[in-house]
Amino acid sequence: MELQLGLAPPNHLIKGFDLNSPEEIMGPAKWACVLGLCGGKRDFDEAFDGPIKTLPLLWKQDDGGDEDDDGAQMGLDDAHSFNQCNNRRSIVGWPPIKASRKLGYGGGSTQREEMDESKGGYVKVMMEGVAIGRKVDLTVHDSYQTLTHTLNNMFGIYEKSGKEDGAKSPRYKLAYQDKEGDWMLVGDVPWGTFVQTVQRLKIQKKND
Amino acid sequence: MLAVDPEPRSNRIRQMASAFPEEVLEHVFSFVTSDKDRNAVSLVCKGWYRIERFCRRRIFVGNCYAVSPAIVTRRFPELRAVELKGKPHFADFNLVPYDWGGGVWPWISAMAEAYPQLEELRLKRMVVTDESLELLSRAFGNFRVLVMVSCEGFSTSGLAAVAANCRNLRVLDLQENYVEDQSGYWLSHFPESCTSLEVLNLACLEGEVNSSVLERLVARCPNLRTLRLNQAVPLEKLANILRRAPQLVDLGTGAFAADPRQELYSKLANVFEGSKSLKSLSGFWSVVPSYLPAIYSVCAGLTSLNLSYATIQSVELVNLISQCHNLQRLLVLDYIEDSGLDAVAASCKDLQELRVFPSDPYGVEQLVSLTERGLVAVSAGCTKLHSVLYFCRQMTNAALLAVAANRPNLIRFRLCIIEPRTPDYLTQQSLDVGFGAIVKSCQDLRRLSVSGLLTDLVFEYIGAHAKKLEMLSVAFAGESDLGLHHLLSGCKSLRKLEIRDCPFGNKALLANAAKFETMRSLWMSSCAVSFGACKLLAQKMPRLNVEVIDEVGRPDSLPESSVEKLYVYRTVAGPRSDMPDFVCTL
Repeated sequence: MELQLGLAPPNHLIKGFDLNSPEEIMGPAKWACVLGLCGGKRDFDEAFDGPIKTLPLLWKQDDGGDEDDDGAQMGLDDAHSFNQCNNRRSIVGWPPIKASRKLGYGGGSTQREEMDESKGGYVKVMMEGVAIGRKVDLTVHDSYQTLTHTLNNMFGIYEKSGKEDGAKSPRYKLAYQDKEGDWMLVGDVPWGTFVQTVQRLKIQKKND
Repeated sequence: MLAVDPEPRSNRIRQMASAFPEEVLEHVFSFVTSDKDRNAVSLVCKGWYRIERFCRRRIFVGNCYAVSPAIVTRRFPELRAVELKGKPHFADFNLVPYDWGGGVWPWISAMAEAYPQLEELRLKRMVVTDESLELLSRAFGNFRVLVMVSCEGFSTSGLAAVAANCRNLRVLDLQENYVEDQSGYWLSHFPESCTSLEVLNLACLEGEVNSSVLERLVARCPNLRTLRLNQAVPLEKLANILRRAPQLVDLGTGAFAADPRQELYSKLANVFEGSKSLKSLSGFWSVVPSYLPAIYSVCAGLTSLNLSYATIQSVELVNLISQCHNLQRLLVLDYIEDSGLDAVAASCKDLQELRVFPSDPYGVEQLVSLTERGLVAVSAGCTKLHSVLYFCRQMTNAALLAVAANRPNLIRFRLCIIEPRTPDYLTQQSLDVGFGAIVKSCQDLRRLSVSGLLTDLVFEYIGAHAKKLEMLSVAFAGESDLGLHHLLSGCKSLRKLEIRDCPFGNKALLANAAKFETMRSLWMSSCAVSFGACKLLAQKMPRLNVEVIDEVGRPDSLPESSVEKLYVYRTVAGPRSDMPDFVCTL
């Protein structure tokens, strides 16, 4: 495989959020402020020797796709962006429902399922650092190899072998979001299963 | 009143202990069945320890890594029944990587040697391979009970081996496992001579099983009391199967859907009328409502009803449930709505357990009218209600206060407000006060899951008041280490704590290190605990395994950055040897 497989990493920009410098606030931490969590809580800092570094309060993996979906830019004013996302599946394992239960809703297809079926074999592909996503038609591919070949061409990824021994050193990894909203490594399941369940793809730089 | 005996207490104990021959003590101990009591017995003196260990027949290992198979088999040479749990609870929600561990093979291979007389094995959240099942089927000649809950790693081939080789099998109970379907013919591996089945639960199997094979199996097992079919068994076959087992107490239907046909309806209604012993119904994977009246004849006798896969509307649900006057346990989708829960509150006065699941967990809008009002109504109308699992989209402190006031007898209260950090929708405040009321009022509360907008204050309440709380689940809550500190320094009965996406960090963890030896386990993911702190904790507490799970990178390269996932548990077995490379024990 030309693209290294890997899960989307958690938000690695680990900083506490500083209310005085809004430009430092990134991603999900914003609506924590909007919901009134931040004000007046510095007393605990005094109790505990200084500000406690915290993670952004939400591990939101799909920073790219959802904004494009609903057309909103993830700006500082967009306080309700989380609430407005059409798809909450970005949070792994939330709401806390067992997998067997998710599959069990075998009844009539919901509106979402109908929407998914209508888009044919196309899934959205986002690449880290690239603002505009692309769409790839899975029905014209028959294997992971052909898919990665297409993606390489689409995003201009040309793997150079920088090593003397000629081994490829893939700089990217490919992840997909399945029907249950979970992000998985591409390549773990048979191609046929993958095609049935994939909702979107993400190419990310591999942190080595 | 006894005269004071001047002899030292230890001598008196020894005298007492040796006053009875071992056989008598063994006989007495055989009446001591609870694990806690057994453990207490073994601590009285060396003699009792020795006798007790030889006559202990069942053990429960809540964390398979807290002890090793070798230690268990060495101490208890005569076990007949073993129960093991593997992965942490959050594995149910995909938070634990697939190959984290929890393999049962080392246990089965050790027990195959040590306990040829093993009769019962119960597994939860473990990885079970076909080889493990094959070994099990061959190693234990009198094997009777196999229960697997939320396990994975095996296929129908493994089941075939169990069916073929376990001559005295009484219980095959498969709950919510992920089973790879190789072939439906595994059921045919039960020999004609197998007539001992009492429990057969196939509900989690995805593939088809041969209906006539199933029917013949059911027909020749007169003691069958529980039969749970999988989704693939069509409604047309249900009547034939059920007719073979009029003695059934617990039935899980297959699909409960077919084109409306009078003769099929009559057939079903007839056979249900003959099932006079039915107390529990489940299945209903898909439902055509016009067939539901076929089961009305059993409603009055039902104590347990699981409609949580039935995507039917409130009116139809209510028509059914309001006839179940003796219902004690109800699982249902939020299609029931507040109006339906009003009906439940009016009709099901014996209700003890209620679980309401979300029909559209990932949608943003509220499509069904299920709110805090339904929960309050049931808490008011059902005086025996002690266990609640409730998914909803809005909540108020007032509602929680009402629930707390109505139901001080709550033992389990799990509330999941689907949107993280949702405040009280009337006041926009946090729900600290509401959950605080719950823990103050419900003195016997053993299990709690909190959600919605919560500050550190709620943890102060929980730490101070939840004296019997054993398991707590926290997500997207709190503001600082103080929250975690409140929990760890209070909650004296706490055994399992699982936390995700909370700003809890190093200080609370390290300040309360000793607490973890009194608990089974702690899970923290997407919090603010650094690798350095984990290392420090591990150094401080050698009898804990401090596992850092990091699938992305090497956590020790950046000791101050937060670890992805942390799993801490007490153990007498030391670090485990089967960790994949993204897990390290410090």
